[in-house]
Amino acid sequence: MTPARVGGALAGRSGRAAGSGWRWAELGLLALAAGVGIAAGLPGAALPEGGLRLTALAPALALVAAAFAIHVSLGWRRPGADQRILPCIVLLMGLGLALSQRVAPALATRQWAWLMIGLATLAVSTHLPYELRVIQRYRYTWAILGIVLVGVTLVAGRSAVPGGPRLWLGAGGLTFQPSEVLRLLLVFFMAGYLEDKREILSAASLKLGPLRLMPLPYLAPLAAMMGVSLALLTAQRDLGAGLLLFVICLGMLYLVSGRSTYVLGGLALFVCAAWLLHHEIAVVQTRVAIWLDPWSDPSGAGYQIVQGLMAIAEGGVIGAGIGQGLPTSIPAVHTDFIYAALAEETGLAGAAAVLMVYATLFLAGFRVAVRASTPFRQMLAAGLTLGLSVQTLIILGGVLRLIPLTGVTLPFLSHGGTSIVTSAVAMGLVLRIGDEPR
Amino acid sequence: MSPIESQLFFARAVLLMLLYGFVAAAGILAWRELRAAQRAAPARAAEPPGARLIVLSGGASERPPGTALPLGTVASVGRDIDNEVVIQDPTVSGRHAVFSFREGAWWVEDLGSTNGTAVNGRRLTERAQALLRSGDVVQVGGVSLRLVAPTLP
Repeated sequence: MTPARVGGALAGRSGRAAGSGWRWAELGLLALAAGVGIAAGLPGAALPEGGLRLTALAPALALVAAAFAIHVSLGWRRPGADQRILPCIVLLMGLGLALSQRVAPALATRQWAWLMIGLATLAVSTHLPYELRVIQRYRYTWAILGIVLVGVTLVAGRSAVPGGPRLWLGAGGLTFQPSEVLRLLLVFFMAGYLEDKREILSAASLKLGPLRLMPLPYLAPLAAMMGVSLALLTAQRDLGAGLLLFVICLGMLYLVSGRSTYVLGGLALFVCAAWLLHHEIAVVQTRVAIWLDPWSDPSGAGYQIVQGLMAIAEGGVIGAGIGQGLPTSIPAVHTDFIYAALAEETGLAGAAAVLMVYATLFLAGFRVAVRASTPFRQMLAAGLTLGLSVQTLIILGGVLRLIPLTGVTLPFLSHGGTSIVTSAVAMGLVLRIGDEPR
Repeated sequence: MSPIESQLFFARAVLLMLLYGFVAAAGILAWRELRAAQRAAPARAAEPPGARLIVLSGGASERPPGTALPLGTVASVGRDIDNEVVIQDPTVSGRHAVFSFREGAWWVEDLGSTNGTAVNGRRLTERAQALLRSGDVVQVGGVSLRLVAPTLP
């Protein structure tokens, strides 16, 4: 009798043990998610004289078909996996595809291809017959690989716009963003490393009066990997990725040790670093200035934020309807500002519902982490989920002007192949961790 | 409304309804899961009534002295999180010892731990079982625990 199987409401209609029935909860949610994806694509497929152009719906239908195929494969090979994760991802992907057809039609086919690759990656990372121990064993290899990738980008990277930050690596028409890959690899590293050192980290070795000092020598490899990564990302001016990495590291340290010392120390470090960056880097000063008052320069530096806020306000409660708003006036609307487009065209109602879908997805991920059988599995599931949830908070906070804007993608909804694929790898692993023999 | 307008209005309504249908379904699932966990929880803690370990000194673990750790019929003690009683102390082995209630009495068995298990100061040999009385002090690595079993002498 294990606690994980007791609360098996998700394992079958009447709380049966996993593996003894069809995954009905997932099927039901998936049907709703498929409906959302298709309904979001309907306006783009409508003909002026009434009726539908079915070919315009074909990408969404292909996405849904692939999702149902993964549903069947999960029931066959991973019957104990969480049933909410796949439907949430499919819903977000369906909405993302419709918004992409809407705001960046020229890129929509490419985005569709990436979404299909993303679903395939999800299936592969869930089903590959390797042991999760492999991730733990090669923890230093992952970290060094990630750092080398970003280092190479610093030297030989390309930028999306001339003169912009050089964040992409690749040849010909195919490029990817190594900072996204670095984040995934560093979560692998930290899960393996912290699992190894968790006892030392949670037992304070030095006492200085009322202060308990952390065992600094054992933190050195972690600090070195994080320091190099953050320095590289700062040199690239990829501040969003840097912030994200830092928060993930602190979060995982707190999860493994249960000590707020790490969080407080990290916050102190963060304040120092923020002050220094604000002092030294012009981009940071601009970002903070337009966060505090975007209307001081509404047609220059503040243009993007002001346009985004006006789009969100324009959406009202139920929105203009997909295809009815003017979100294309926002720069980078298909990547960083996709949420503003969503809020304009589906209103507060749609934007709030999507937030709840994200909450459901991340709660499911953390639930997998809480119930995982070994500390390494717990750390891996928690770290991967933490990464995606913090990423969501950073970009939504930026778009809604709650924190200074730093460009990261919105998982599964924004444009960006690397983001889709790495997010899919992460969630595929969480699905896999959720299904374990007991 | 023209056909295209009514079509677009229909698409908006359906989209929002499906979105909230999804959110509601996820909420119902979470609710049912919580209920199932609540129903299962009392069943685990029920037997045998009232037996518990009181922490006398917790070593480096986060268990302050005086903490009561309830015991099930068979309760393994160790540092790994899949033990019934988890003690995060470096001197405690992953699976250190097991407490069990049978033949009307409590027994403790060492599971081949590194730092050993002792009852009232007498160290157990590996794989040997010791009969316990209520109030006995069991030393698990560097952590001292007192067995309190109200139904026993």
